[in-house]
Amino acid sequence: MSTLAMLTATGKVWRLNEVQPEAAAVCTGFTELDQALAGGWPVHTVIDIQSQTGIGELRLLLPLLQQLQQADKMLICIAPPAQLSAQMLEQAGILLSQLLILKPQHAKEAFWAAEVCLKSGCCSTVLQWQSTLSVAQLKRLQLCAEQGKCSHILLRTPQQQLALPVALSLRLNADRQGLAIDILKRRGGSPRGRLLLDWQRHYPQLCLPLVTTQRHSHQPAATPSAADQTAATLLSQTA
Amino acid sequence: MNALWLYLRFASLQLDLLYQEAVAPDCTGPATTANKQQNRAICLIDNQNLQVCQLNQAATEAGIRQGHNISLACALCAEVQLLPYQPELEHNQLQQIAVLLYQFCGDIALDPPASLWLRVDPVLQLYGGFPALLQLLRQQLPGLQILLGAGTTAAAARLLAFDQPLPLPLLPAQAFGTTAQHKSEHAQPARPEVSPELQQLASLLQGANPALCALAASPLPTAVLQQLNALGIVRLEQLLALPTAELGRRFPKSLWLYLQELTGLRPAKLDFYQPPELFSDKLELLYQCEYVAQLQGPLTLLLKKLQTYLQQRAQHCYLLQLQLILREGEPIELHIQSAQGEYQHQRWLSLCQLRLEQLKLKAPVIQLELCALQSCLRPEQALALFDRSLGALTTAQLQSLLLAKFGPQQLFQLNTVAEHRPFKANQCLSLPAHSSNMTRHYGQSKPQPNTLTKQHQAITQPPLLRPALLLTEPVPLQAQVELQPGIERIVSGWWDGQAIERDYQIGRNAQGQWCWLFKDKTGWYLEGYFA
Repeated sequence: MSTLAMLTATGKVWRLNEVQPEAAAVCTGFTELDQALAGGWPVHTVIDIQSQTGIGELRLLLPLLQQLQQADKMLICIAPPAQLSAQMLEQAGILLSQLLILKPQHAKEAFWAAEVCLKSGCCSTVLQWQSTLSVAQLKRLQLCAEQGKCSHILLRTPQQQLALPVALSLRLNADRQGLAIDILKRRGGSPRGRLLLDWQRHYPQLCLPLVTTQRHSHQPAATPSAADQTAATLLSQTA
Repeated sequence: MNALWLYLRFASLQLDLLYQEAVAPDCTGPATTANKQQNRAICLIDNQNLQVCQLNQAATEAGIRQGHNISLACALCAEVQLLPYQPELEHNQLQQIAVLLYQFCGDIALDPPASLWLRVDPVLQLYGGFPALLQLLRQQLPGLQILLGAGTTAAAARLLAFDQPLPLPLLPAQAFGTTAQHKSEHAQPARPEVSPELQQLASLLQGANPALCALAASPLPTAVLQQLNALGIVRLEQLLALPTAELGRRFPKSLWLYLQELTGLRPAKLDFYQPPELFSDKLELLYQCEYVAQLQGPLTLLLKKLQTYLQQRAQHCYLLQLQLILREGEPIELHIQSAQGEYQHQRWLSLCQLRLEQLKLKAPVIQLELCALQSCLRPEQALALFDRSLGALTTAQLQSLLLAKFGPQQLFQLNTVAEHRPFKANQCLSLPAHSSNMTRHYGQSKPQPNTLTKQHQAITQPPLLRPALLLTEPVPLQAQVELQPGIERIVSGWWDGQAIERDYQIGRNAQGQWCWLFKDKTGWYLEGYFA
């Protein structure tokens, strides 16, 4: 083995054409997911998230939203399924003064708004709840996101549609321990299988105690007692 | 230096401007349309006596003259187009001309319906002499027939303009050269190249003697004129030769006053023109617009005028009022606002279009009226030279764009209040519709430091978990849920009639959704989801 080959193999010398352009990525806030996504969420692009409502899909995105917010840049929520809670967003460190919620009446209007906001160059993130989007529409959104340097996150119910032109496509499934994430598509990488995101550390109240007999032995014994502790502190009576 | 007054008579103002406005927004060259228009005979008919009062060249060639009645005009030229003469419209157009000329000359007095005075001696030096000023007038008012009279007093200028009017020659054919000249005119007001034609005109104007004028052209009352005529006094010089004391005894005071004004012994009583504080303009449509899309052309024209107005004053505008006057029924009034303040017509046009798209016209539009309601001095903006992507908006611009499209009913902002009751603590507020300076407002609407929750956070570790999605009204719990240990009891609000006594718990339903539930005296309810 030549010296050059040895150096190349160890990564001390590399060829310029092998280097992939450093894709900007934002830390997801969850170590397992960071590894699976090779660094974190891609930015200035469209992220497709297929999920049922209410299983923790927004909590997964909170670190991303928090990190992307900048001075003079807005966070736009288009057509949320219910009223977003100001308290919860504030707890997550999101500036409410930069948040704008849009409730359009038609899907066409929502698409118009998404396009305008993405292109405007003054938004950090556009969160959109919309189930039906054509491939052509998604391509347009992708171009707008690149032009305006803005991330577009599309939240939809689980779809059968295949191969959408998005940078990242995830399907979230409810799990007793947190979230089970299927990486359906990742640009510049092969999709990995199912990833289980354990929320014990982040949101212990949103995890069920393990009752399945096979897994119980793997789990440290501290879990039930920790849950008891939080339960005790939670019982707070207010005036 | 003696005063020099210039009196401008617009002989056919309404006719000259008739097609100008229609032509301007079109992409087709104005020259071709103008040619078409010239080929067709048009006469304006005075409604009072039903006689021709203004006519174009084609009509003159056909043999029609001023004062002909309708049947005579139609007999002379079968294809003649007859339009009613509208003095109010002409007066409005005169105002527009005054707006335009006010940039070049400060002393303007209107003489309705279609004439005005300019006091030009203070600005002669600025523009490099009288001929150069005449050229400037021609460039600013292309296509208008102008009859001039000049004198040392306002009354003398008027008398000359009516008795011995001198037409201001139209621009020579090389239109491109003149427009280029017009542009450089701003940078370099004193241009020596003035056509000999204009120089000759200037000397003629200055050399004219009002004493030779016929008194019939003066604004004296008819009774006085008849009296003078009976005495054989026809020209002004005859009148001036008479001793003033005699005149005062035999004629009414108006004649004496007029003579004083004419000779400059008494200053003329003129209402000098003052530019309006607010921009307001109307546009009569030549055809009835049934579709909103057709309004774009006329609206662009109005917005361009607005842009010029604002640019000259270094202002921008926050709120526009657009009135669509319909053929029948109530006029539609639209308020279009911009959070940042705009002056460029393209930006306003896109905002207006968003509003107009939602509109359904019950009847065709016949007139547009635009009024700038909130305008103020434009602050200097420091823009980065390289870091601006094309078409980038500011947050305020984006907000006004969304507001124009969706209205305040569909746009919301969130806020928190230091409260225990969830429906009070989480506020969803619609965007204020008529705040002129939204950016400042939003800057301040940062939520107050939430002292109560902070105290809670100090006591209870970790902070209270709140759902991401809240239902507008709690719904009775239908499905079976797996409850998590831990109860949060909220008993509050007995002081304001919205008392609650609830035990909140977190639960997971069969689909794996995390629900925020509470139990009160009436039963179990679902209030939100931990999305």
